[in-house]
Amino acid sequence: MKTMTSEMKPPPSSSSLSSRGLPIDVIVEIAERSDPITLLRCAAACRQLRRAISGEGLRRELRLRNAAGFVPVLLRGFYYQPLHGAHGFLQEPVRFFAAGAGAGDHHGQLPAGDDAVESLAVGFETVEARGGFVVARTGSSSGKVCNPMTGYELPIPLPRKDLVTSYLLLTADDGVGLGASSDDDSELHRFRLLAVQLCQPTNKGRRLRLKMQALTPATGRWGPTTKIPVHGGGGDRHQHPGAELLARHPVVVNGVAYFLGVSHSFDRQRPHPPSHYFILRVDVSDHGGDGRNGTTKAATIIPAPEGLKPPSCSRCTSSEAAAAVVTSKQLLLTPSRDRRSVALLVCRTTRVEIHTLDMLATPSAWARATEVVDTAAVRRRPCDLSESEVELHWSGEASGAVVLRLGGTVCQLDRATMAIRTIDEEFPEFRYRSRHMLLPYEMGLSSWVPSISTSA
Amino acid sequence: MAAAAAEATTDGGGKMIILISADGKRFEVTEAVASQSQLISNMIEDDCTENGVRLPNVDGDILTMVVDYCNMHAGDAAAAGDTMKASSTEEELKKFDAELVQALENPVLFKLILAANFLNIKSLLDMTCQRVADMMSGKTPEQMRETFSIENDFTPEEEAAIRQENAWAFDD
Repeated sequence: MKTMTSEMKPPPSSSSLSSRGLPIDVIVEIAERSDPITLLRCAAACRQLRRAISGEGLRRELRLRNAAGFVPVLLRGFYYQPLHGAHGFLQEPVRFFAAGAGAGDHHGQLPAGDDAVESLAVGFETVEARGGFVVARTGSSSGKVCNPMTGYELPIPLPRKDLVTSYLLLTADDGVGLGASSDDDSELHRFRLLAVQLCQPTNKGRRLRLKMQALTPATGRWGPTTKIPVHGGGGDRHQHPGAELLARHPVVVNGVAYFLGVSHSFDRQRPHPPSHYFILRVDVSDHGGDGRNGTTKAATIIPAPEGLKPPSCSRCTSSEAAAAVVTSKQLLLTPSRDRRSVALLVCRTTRVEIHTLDMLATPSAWARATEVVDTAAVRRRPCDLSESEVELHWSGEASGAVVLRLGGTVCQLDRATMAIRTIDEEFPEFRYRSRHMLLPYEMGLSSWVPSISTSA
Repeated sequence: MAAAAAEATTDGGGKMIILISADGKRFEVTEAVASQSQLISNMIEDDCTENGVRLPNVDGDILTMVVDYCNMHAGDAAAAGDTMKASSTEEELKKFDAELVQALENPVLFKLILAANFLNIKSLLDMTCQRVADMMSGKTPEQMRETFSIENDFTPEEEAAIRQENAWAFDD
């Protein structure tokens, strides 16, 4: 053990600096905690910083945070593939269009761009995509997990396609436990994939349950099924037997996952609770290294905001009720603006409503909705656009970009600026008329390795 | 060393040590509080805190903040058994931390970072660096040079090449 005197000598690095300055290693500590843009700009300040930031040590330690709000540039672009034939047989290769780059192909914007496009090219059917990772189905019972930014690829078994299973990808960006990693399982490639099903109780009086299964990346196998009781946030009516999760992308905020669901009522005879949408909230932060999820936690159902009627309600036939009908395609979950809660986007003919869930209220309550009006669309076309032609396609959890279709027009809502603009003038291929796969791609921060040259 | 650790636990970390700032101000703190500094923790283990610990590169006003911070956070480890108390103070700690760094001007904040770095108090270094990282968001390289008193030693050609390499991060 080294001996110490009680008189401490100041370290040489700080004594040589002015009172305002910080030693380079401390500035690097700061850069590591910033967002990608700030990091790259920091690396452009001087030679010494550039060398330190491009160093191998930093790349291993890199723990970039999401900035407090949304970072629009994290939306790197769009994977696009035209579909042909009755069953959508894929004949054309997947292409990547860089966001904000204007018309035409722009390859090479992603570090592993071209290879990744190749690797995605066969049977590109996206099951789930989050934090830079993409899960795609490659066969009736097979799929793969890949990360186009790093070139990572892992074939996985994927249960047969059904209408009741939702998938959720968790990455290091979510700040949740990802379980133990094997030695060759680099920090860059860590993820967790969960398969989630909402199960009806078999006996009367029993609760709804959530079945969860986790894929263990090290073995490429699915772990045991965990069953979690579901509690109804708004009383027993939410224990309705018609409850199911919708095939809409789940959202993760602070280690809690949110799924969009609907509760149907089919009973025409007796009085019944009306059909309604709901949000299923489940804590996914805990994870043992053995592939099991925490069993003590419960899932909670939170009713969706008032006035959103699913089309299925058999009793709601008045014109007033018909006016309140929204399809599940008009709904999408997204993190709230401060990224501490969740928000429900509702797309109407020429506007988008943003309902934010107030977590501090008990029971959780929806704050009054903010609206973004697509002024260009109001100008562009007469108000005869039917709501059935309106669809929320995708919402970026890190970039705050929302891709939506208003009639034949592909638009992008930027939640940082709260403005809607059309993007199909920029990318004419995306127009609704042709059948295609369109996957907006957001980069993951944890798996991102900056390309910084130091030859200069 | 084992004896020292036993002593600390039996009387609840009650043994006091003196920290002396650059300008001669003296702060009396418990060993448990001071041990949050890895540097002082090592010194305690080595039994060389008898006559007080001189910190010639930490000013009195900065050391006041550091001691406040350590006093506030000393409960973290000590109150682990008392779960009620721990959960009720977590909010207070967050509030205290936020207020500590929120009001600070850059020169003072930087001095606090240097003190946290020198004393090796990881949580304080984390928090203060995060605060500066938040403030750097959206700044240009030139503004960063100003903030950190860095001289630009790139040629204009090199600078153009650097911008070109990751052009997406430099759209102003």
